[in-house]
Amino acid sequence: MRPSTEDLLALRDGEPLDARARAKIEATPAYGCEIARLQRMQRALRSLQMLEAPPEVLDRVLAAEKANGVVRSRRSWLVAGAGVAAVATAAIAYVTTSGGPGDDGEAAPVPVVAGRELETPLPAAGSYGALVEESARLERLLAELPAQSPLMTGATASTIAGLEDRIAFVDEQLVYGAARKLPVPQQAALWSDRVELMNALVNVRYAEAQSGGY
Amino acid sequence: MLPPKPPPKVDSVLLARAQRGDRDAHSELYALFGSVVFTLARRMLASRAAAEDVLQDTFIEVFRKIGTYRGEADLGFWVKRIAINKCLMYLRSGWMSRRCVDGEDILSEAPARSAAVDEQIALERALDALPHMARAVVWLHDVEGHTHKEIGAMLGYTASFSKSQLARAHERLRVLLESGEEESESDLCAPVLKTC
Repeated sequence: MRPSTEDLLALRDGEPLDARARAKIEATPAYGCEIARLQRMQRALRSLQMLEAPPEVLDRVLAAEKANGVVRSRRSWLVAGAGVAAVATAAIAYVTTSGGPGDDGEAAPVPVVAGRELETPLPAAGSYGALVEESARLERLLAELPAQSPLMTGATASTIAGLEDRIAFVDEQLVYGAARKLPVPQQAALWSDRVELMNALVNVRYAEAQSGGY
Repeated sequence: MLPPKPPPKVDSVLLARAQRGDRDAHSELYALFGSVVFTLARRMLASRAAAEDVLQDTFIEVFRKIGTYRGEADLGFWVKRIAINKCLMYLRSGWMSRRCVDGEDILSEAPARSAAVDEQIALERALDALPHMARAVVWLHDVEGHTHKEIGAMLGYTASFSKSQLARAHERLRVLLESGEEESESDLCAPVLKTC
């Protein structure tokens, strides 16, 4: 079997590799050349020019500090500028994020979005692999949804931004957790949080896509 | 794997000043890490405008949270983690799918045109032309030095997903760079052919 680019990259990076694939690569000079090319590519990527940070961004950041953090990027302005009335969408987020899997391992309540049941229930808490898989499935679902409409309501936009912030926070905990060898049950709890938040995000984005932004 | 270039170090005096809310210290931190964050965001998002947004949002969060930084990791690593999360949020939001690669950024950022610069521009263009996820993975792995497991966790996928994205990115980069070479060769040949 011909070694794949994944195999060549694994060898380049000193990662574990199937013995047969390794032997085949090491016995074929052409693969050696390809690995050398992949190494050169990595060096070239690392030597790409550093870009100078625009100084005006610092002015905006410092102005934000002075005004108690009330400065917003273009995206956040759009999010914040569309008004209040976040009650309905916030309720969706509340229902979906608080309806997560219970400790007894029973199937979690099926989240509801605007009167529509999500097709699959959340996996039971504690099943680490299932949670990671479910998170990946939700990421794929999210990626398949149409791009966010720039004309969505402020309520929807702020809910989405809030959920994205919380997912980013959980992601940060997961990376630190992995680095500190956090026990599996605690990592599973973080993954469970992530799945719930992703689920809420998919639901809100789905509802937004269905309504064309309104 | 080659070790990644470490971010700049921060001395404890500067850190303490920044944690007390000293605005000059914040400016110094921006001077130290601004380019690191901006480069990371520009490379991952392939858009100068998006990179500026991420730069701004990152430093707002850095200055807001620096009081809670306890030195678990190098400050540079901590700042980069915030920036990476902001980039991933940007990618996840779907906002990226509506924009085109802004190649003019690359030209305006290139100070001069030598062979080496041309090669860099070609690589930057090829990187920008990758699908968003593949570009993020190749940058996080090959440049920032994150493992596939870490990248999988950041993206909400598995390590295998990260590996396959990296392989796809390299295959695509190769095609893009080779087709670029052919194009430039054919450009050079074109006048000769017309003369003939």
